[in-house]
Amino acid sequence: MTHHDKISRREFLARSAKAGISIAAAAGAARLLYESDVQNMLPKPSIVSGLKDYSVSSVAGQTMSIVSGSNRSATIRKAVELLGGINRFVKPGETVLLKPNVAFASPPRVCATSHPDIISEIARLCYEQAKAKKVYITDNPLNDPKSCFELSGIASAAQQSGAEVILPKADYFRPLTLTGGRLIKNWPVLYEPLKNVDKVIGIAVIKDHHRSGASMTMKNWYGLLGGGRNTFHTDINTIITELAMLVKPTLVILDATEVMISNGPTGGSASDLKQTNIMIAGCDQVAADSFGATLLNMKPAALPYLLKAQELKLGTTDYESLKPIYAKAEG
Amino acid sequence: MSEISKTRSQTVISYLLIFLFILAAIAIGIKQQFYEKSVLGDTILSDGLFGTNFSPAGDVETYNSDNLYEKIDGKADLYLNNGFVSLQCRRFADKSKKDSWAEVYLYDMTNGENAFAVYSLQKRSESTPLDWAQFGYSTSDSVYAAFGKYYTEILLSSENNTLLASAQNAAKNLSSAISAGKTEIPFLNLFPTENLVNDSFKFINADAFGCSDLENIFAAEYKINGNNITAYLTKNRPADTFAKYYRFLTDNGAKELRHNIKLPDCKAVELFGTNEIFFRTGGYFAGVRGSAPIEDLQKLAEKLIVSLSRQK
Repeated sequence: MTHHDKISRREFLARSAKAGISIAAAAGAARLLYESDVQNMLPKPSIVSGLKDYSVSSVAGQTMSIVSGSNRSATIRKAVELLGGINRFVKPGETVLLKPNVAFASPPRVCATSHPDIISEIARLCYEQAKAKKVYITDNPLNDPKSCFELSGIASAAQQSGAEVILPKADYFRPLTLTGGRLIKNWPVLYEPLKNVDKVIGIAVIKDHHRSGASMTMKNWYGLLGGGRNTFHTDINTIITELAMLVKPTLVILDATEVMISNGPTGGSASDLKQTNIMIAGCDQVAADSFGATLLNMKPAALPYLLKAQELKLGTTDYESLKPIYAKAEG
Repeated sequence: MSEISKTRSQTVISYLLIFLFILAAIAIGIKQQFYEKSVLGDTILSDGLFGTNFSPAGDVETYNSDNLYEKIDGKADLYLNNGFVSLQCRRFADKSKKDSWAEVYLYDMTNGENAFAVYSLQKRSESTPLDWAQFGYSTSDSVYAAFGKYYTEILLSSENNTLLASAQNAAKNLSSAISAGKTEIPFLNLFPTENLVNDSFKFINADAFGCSDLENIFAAEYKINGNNITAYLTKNRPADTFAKYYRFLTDNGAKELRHNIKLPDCKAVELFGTNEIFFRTGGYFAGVRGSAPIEDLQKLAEKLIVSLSRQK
């Protein structure tokens, strides 16, 4: 620096003040434009007001079937056949979503998840007999979804039967408000897989449940919820009832080949299971669960969500009034 | 000071500063290395837990009370209501057979009493005791144990004796690593030891003996003159528990029996062939029940009263 380049103290202070004002102005502008929640910058998804009705017309005397046998493929085949066959539920060219319980990363033999043999058989029936266009399978497990689908054997069953597993992704969820609901209000629901399919089949397993008493077809829809859904555990009977209000399925399947009679819903050991060799299929999820409760040595009245659902005319706890078809599967 | 010497001193200071920065970086690196070691030590679920034939099939998963439900969903309440602090999980796979694996769940339950409570509440009836464990058993495809403040479950991919033996060994390794020793559960020490059936302690958190007013009961089984008798006790129950339980029994048809126990709050009853003596002493509500002569029940009740009176 030469003497000519030197600036006076006054000049220095003036320049510093200008620089300071420029920085403050830039910071102020940035503060005004700053959005602390990046979510607010994203386009807001519109709130869905419910799901479409996936049910089929009722046929007297063909609402519920109860088939005994130890081979799941045979019992589910027979149970569907007794209700009029898969063609009653799925038409050629339709798309079908299977909703099993894939809540845990555990092997099929502990029955904490829906059994892959049922998935395979239903997918096969949809493709081969009903000539479905496509069969999808989804669930939103709390554990790592990929591990859950793989260890439960459902990913493999899907692959072998040509069904496609839809693993939950953030953008598959949409806020949903259930008309008449108290808990499902602007709540994220796994909507994308449900949006465009023609039919929905719920595939559940009977489990003792520490909080709700029993986990069956109605509780199975819990896997469609996103967000911090454990908040609903404090009002479990209401949320299960609202889920039954939300989902009007084409068909529900309740596997009671082996029932988790204790330490549910995780179980973990074969000693938590009881072999009952029964498969239930039906169009009335309340009735199916009411029968399922008896296999856990419970009366339907012991499960408040069944009574609430009946009050709302979502189904009947008096399953015998539906004249279920009892049969035995061969093979 | 000349310009040259000024520049030289500035260079020396600069080098000194750079040297200090390097020293600080080295110190941070060393500190972090030790920190990593301590974290791995804290997990307990070390790589070698299952021996040399197994390797970890993933990292340790850790859950706290806010996210426990993500791992065990509806079962979370059982732990949260009994002093749960944290859960560590890790899966180990057989090196020669990757689809043969075991998953270890290690629950920190604050203290031995809570660990025993969740152990007891989930105890499987079809099980074999682990001979080395104070509280432990295995089924055909899983191992369960409570040691110190921990409750552990080891769940297997299949029913396989070799895999089960490895899991039992891993549970033993875990117990040793934790150095739990004998778990002191004060409530269990209150039960008389004479005629006590081994491995019969249990915890009943609600609806004990069908009565909704009886909660958080510790119980033990006795074999006296060929008959099974259950002794039970609980502390800090509401003062009217005694009266409510008496009303519950009489409402269900219990008939009162004579007894010689010198306590103001003590009743003996018979209901559906089961005799029962229950009483209140100190802060405890306790009793004995079974299909046994009232004299045998009374002897056991007296021993229990003596034991409880020592703890007042």
